[in-house]
Amino acid sequence: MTIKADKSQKGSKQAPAGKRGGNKKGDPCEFINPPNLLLAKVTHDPSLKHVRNLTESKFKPDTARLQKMTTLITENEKKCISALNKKINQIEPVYRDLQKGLLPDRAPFVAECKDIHGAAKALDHIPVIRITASLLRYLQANITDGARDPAVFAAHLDALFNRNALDVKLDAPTKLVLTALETLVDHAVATKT
Amino acid sequence: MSSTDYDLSVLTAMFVDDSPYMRKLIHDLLILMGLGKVITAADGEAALKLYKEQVPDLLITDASMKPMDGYELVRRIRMDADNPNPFVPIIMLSGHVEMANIEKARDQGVTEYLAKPVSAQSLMTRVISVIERPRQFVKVGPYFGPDRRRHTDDVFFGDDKRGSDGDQTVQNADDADTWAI
Repeated sequence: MTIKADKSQKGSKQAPAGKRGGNKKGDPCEFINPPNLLLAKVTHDPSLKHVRNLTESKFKPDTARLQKMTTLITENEKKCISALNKKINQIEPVYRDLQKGLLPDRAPFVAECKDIHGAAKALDHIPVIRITASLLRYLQANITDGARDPAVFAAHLDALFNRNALDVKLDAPTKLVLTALETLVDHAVATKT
Repeated sequence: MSSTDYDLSVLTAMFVDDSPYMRKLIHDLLILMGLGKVITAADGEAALKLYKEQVPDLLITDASMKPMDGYELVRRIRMDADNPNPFVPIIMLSGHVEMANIEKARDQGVTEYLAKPVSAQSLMTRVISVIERPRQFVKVGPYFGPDRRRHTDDVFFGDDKRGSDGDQTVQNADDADTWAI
């Protein structure tokens, strides 16, 4: 987008202090440079609070510390994978009950779904995150227990049990499955509330 | 403390995520990095209350949480009149790396965006970056937050010296820049 320059303003004109392009049209723009308190704090040097941009970093990362951090991430990942698998296995009885037409108790099932959702978030497992988010949305919607449809739960649990067939990078079939589940909940919530 | 080292133990960070696994992981990572104190919260609402009480030096937040998500939390921290420090550096840590989400985060006033899964190096780089290269803040229209333009080298703010005849056009700064996040 281009804007026409104002021809009436000839010769040089400085922008007001703290403002750039002060003569341009549009919203007035105020620039603020707060003191760099963090740099002053971590260096114990109050004079550095005026530094805006260190061209050369004074920070030399401790490789041993970085290694420890990386190990912690790897260990956490293993822990989360094991927790995710364990928690999904734990809801198998719910699935069997659903096939008999029995609905799960809401409060403990919500807690279990939140647990799975949390573990999936730590692993950045997008399909499981979206499945559990959709399931939680249905569970937490303002629908009476009697009006809940076991098929909606069963569809989500089916997808959870077959998570290994879903692509974490969301290929087209995975997107299709996830969108179908979300649409199912949208429709159920819209018609039952 | 040597000249090449920072004393991060004087800093307090806050991490907000609804996943207890993530809260524990990032808490432990930041402590391992050397930060003195890490406060955690499970959602935006709890985080905002804690933020106003404890005023951390740095905030790291997830995007999707309930009842208040990360975007709303960032907006409230930047805009609330009773906020003790609206200039706090905010790093958004999220798996939603679609451009629309990143732009949304930028427009709420996020300082840096970090994609999940997090690595030790990327977390450390972002934290050091907000210390060494704090962003200029800008207040324009309804927006208040870090200047959303990171590179301004190609934008000309001086006088036009090519005479005054004919139609002159100036490039709108907003179009010329690469966006910050």
